[in-house]
Amino acid sequence: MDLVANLALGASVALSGENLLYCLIGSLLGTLIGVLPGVGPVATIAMLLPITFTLQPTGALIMLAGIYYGAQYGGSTTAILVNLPGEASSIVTCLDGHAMARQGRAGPALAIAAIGSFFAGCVATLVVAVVSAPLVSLARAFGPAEYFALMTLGLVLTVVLARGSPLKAVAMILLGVLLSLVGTDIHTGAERLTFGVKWLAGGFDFVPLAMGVFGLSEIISNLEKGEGKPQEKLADKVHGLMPTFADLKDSAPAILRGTALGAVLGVLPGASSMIASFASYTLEKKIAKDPSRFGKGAIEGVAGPESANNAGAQTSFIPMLTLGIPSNSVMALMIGAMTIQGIVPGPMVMEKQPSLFWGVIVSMWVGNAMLVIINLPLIGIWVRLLDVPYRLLFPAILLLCSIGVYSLNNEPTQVLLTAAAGVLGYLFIKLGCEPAPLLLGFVLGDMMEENLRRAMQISRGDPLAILTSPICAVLLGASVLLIASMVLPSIARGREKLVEE
Amino acid sequence: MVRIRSPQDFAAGLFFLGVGAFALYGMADLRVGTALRMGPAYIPKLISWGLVLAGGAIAARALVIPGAGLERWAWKPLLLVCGGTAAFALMISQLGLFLASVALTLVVSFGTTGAKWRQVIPFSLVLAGAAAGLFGGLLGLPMRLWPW
Repeated sequence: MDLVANLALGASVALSGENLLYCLIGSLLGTLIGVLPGVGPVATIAMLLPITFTLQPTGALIMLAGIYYGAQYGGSTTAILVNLPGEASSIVTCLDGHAMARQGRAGPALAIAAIGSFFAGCVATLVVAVVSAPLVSLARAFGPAEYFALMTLGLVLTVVLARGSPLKAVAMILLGVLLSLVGTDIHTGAERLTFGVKWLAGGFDFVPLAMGVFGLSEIISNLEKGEGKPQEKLADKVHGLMPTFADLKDSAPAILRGTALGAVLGVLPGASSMIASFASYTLEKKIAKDPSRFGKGAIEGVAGPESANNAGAQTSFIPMLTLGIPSNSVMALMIGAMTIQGIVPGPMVMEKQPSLFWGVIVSMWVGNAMLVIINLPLIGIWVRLLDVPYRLLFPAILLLCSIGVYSLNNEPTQVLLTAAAGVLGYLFIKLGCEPAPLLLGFVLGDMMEENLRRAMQISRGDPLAILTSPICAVLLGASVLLIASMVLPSIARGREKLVEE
Repeated sequence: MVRIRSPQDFAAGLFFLGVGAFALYGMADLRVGTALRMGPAYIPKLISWGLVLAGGAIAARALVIPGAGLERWAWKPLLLVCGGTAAFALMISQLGLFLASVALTLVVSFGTTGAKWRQVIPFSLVLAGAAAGLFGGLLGLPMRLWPW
C-alpha cells in the first residue's frame, strides 16, 4: 500500500539523528514560547526563521513545525497552573483547567491535557497523511483559474471566521493584497506604488512585515498594559500526575469529539486552532448532562479543547503542504520559509521532494511523542520560567527579531521596515483590526494576480469563461454561498455566537 | 447634526479610505489595460477602489451603529520600541553588531516604567556580548561585528 510505503519513507527521514535533534529543539523552543505569555507562535516563528536558513530545508521545516505545535502544548501548562493563557488557543483551558488546579487537581488536569493533545496529534497526523495524496492528485488538475478560485474561497473563509467586524476583515485583506502588489510588475516591468524609492522596486518582504505587525506591536501593547500583577502560582500543588479511572472515563469521549472537531476546523482557511478549542468547549458544555459543572473544574472542559486545538494545529498543514495555500498566519510563515529555502509550495512538493513532504508529516507524530515526555516531568522548570521579568525578556526578543531580519540579506532597510510595520501593527490594535487577514491577503495577493492574469489570457478576456470549469464553479459558488450566509441575519447570529463564545 | 457613534470604527474606515485613495493617486499614470491584456494598474486599482469602498462603508456604519471609542496611544513604548529597532538598523552595517545591539537594548529598555541606568547598562552589555558571540561566533552569520 502506498500509504505505508510513504509513511516508512517519512519515518526514515524523521528518525534520522539530525532531524530528531531539530524536532526536539523545535518542540522545546515552542513549549518555552508557549509558556511565556506575550510571545505568540507567529512572532516566535518569524523570530526564529533566520536561524533555520542555515539548515537543510527538511530540517528547517521540521523545526518550524515543532515550534508551532510545541507552543500549543506549552500554552496549556500555564493556563492550568497560573490561569495565564500562554497563547490564544488556551484561553478556554483556563476556565476549567485552573479551576481543577485550585481544587488541588492540577496533576490530572495537566495529564489529561497532555494525553488529549497526544491522541489528537496522532490522529491528525494520520489524517494529514491520508488526505494529502488524493488532494495532491486533485490539485494537479488545477489551472490558473482554479487556483484563483481556491484562493478566493480561502480569503472569503478568512472573513467569515475572523473575529470582530467582517467588513474590517475585508478591508484588511484588501490592504494586504495591495501591499503585496507594490514593486515591479513582472509582466510589464512598470513600477507600482514605489514612489521612486529604489529598494521598494523588489516589493515588500514578508518577514519584516509579519515581524513588525505581529511581534513588535504585541510587545508595545504588552508594555502598555504594564507587567501585570504577580500571579498566584499553583506549581507547588502538583502532586501525583495520575488521573483517576473516572477522570479517564469522563474525558475519553470529549477527547474523541475534540479531535474530530479540531481536525475538520483546522483545514478551513482562517479558522485558527483557537476557534477549534472554543467550538469544542461549547460543544462539551452543550451535550453535558450537567452544564453547571463547567467553569468549576469539569475535566471534559480541559480534555475537549486541548485535543481540538492540537488536532487543528496539525491539520492546518494540509492546505499548505498540498496546495501551497496557507490557512493561517503561521502557515503563511511556513510558506515564506519554504520559498526562502528555494522550494515552490504547492502540489509539486509531494512529487518532487517526497522525503521532505513525508518526513515533515511523520516528524509531527515524533514531535508529539516528545512533547508528552518533555512536558509532564519538566512542568516545574517551565513554570519557573515565568519568574523571568518581562523587562529583561522583551529587549532580548527585540534584539533577536532585529538580528533575524537583518540576517535575511544583510539589508538595514529591512530592519527599518520592521520598525515601521511595528507602528502599523500598533495602529491596527488601536483601530480594532485583526492583523491575520492582512497577512493572508499579503501572501496570496500576488499569487492571485498572477493566476487571474493567466486565466484571463486563456479565456481570451472573458471572465464568465472561468465558470465553465466545474472545479471553479464549485469553489466560487461556495464563496458566494458563504458571503450570502453572512448577510442572512439568522446564520450571522449563529456565527457570532460561535466566534464570541 | 451627524453623530459618530463608533469613533474607533470611524477612524478605521477613514484610514482604509485614505490608503485606497492614496494608492489610486500614486497609480494615476499607470496603464490599466483590458481584462485580456492587463496593464500594471489593472488589479491594484481594482483593489484600491475596493479599499475606498470598504473604508467608506466602515465609516458610514460607524455613524449608525454604536461601538468602541478611541483609545489613548502609549507613545513612550511605541516610540522607544520602534526607535530602538530603527537605531539598530542605522548602526548595524557601519558600527557592527555589538554596538547596534547595545543601542537597541538601551533604547527599548526605557519603554518600561522604572528602568534605571545602572541596571540597564550592564544588561545591555551582557545581551550584546551574547548576541555577538552566538550569531557572529557560533552561528557564523556573515555580518560586521565591530566598527573596525
